Amino acid sequence: MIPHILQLNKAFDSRVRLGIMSMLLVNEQMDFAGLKSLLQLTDGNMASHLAALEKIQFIQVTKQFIGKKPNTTYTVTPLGKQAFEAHLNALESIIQQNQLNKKK
Amino acid sequence: MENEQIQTPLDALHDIRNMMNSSLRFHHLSGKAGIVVGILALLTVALTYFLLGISVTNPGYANNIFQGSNLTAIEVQLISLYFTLLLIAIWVGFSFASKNARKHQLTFWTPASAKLIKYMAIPLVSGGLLCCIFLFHHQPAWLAPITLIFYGLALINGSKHTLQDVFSLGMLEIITGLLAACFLDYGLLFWAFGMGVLHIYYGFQLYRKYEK
Repeated sequence: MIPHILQLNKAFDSRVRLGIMSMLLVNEQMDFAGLKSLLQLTDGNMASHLAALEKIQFIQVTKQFIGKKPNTTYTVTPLGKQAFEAHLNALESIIQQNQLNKKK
Repeated sequence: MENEQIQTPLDALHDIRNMMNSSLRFHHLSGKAGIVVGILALLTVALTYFLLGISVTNPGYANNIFQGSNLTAIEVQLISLYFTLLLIAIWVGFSFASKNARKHQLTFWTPASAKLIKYMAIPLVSGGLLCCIFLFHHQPAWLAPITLIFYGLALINGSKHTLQDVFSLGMLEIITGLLAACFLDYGLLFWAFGMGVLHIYYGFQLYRKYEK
């Protein structure tokens, strides 16, 4: 049996990336400013985490213009949703395992 | 959020729940604002009785206002009085909530607060337009039930994006509004209860639960 700890997705080690994915799963789409205001990060830091998630195709980036202002929105991809759910299941299993070990 | 060290599974789950919640719900409604708005509403109703020269025991206030095709001085006074109350209430709600958010080092404008405003504005604006239509048809007595019912619907619609307590306040406003429609002559009294007493009570509850 694979230990549950190995099923944890490396992409979600960072609290920021975990936060981004959590928000995108309950909101159909969010823009850069919205994500930033809740995570309280700098632009550069935020952009690098978003780029990392985009690179592994967990999120999709849509760039458009509202009037003359550029507006970038982010949505979660089916692959990202699947990976996040697997990560949640792994976390759950680890907690259950810990509780079992405590009882023994 | 700055610290990026590896967390325990429980911390991670806690973070996830936190992020999901704060991206969907606006948590910084101010109880103090509710109390202030409630008191202002009660004062406004008292002023209305004074302006119309009627007493609580002698209802039928709406029988002889807004009946002519031109607005009389007292009707203009009433419209500007309630319009001012509306503007002050909106301003109080916004400024107390943003002060509250700043206290927690957060900004007022989040995707959650934008959704809250949008979902509340739709029933509120429809209700406001319906009020104008009823005034146009010389039926001022219906304004109390309409404002109460549509305000209640707006609260219920918005409750998905803010504190849970708003839902039951919305239900009570709708019930008050329906009762006001049954006893049209006493509309002002029901309005004073819905916009005054209920706001003060819920404001106090919110303050005790979240701000103390």
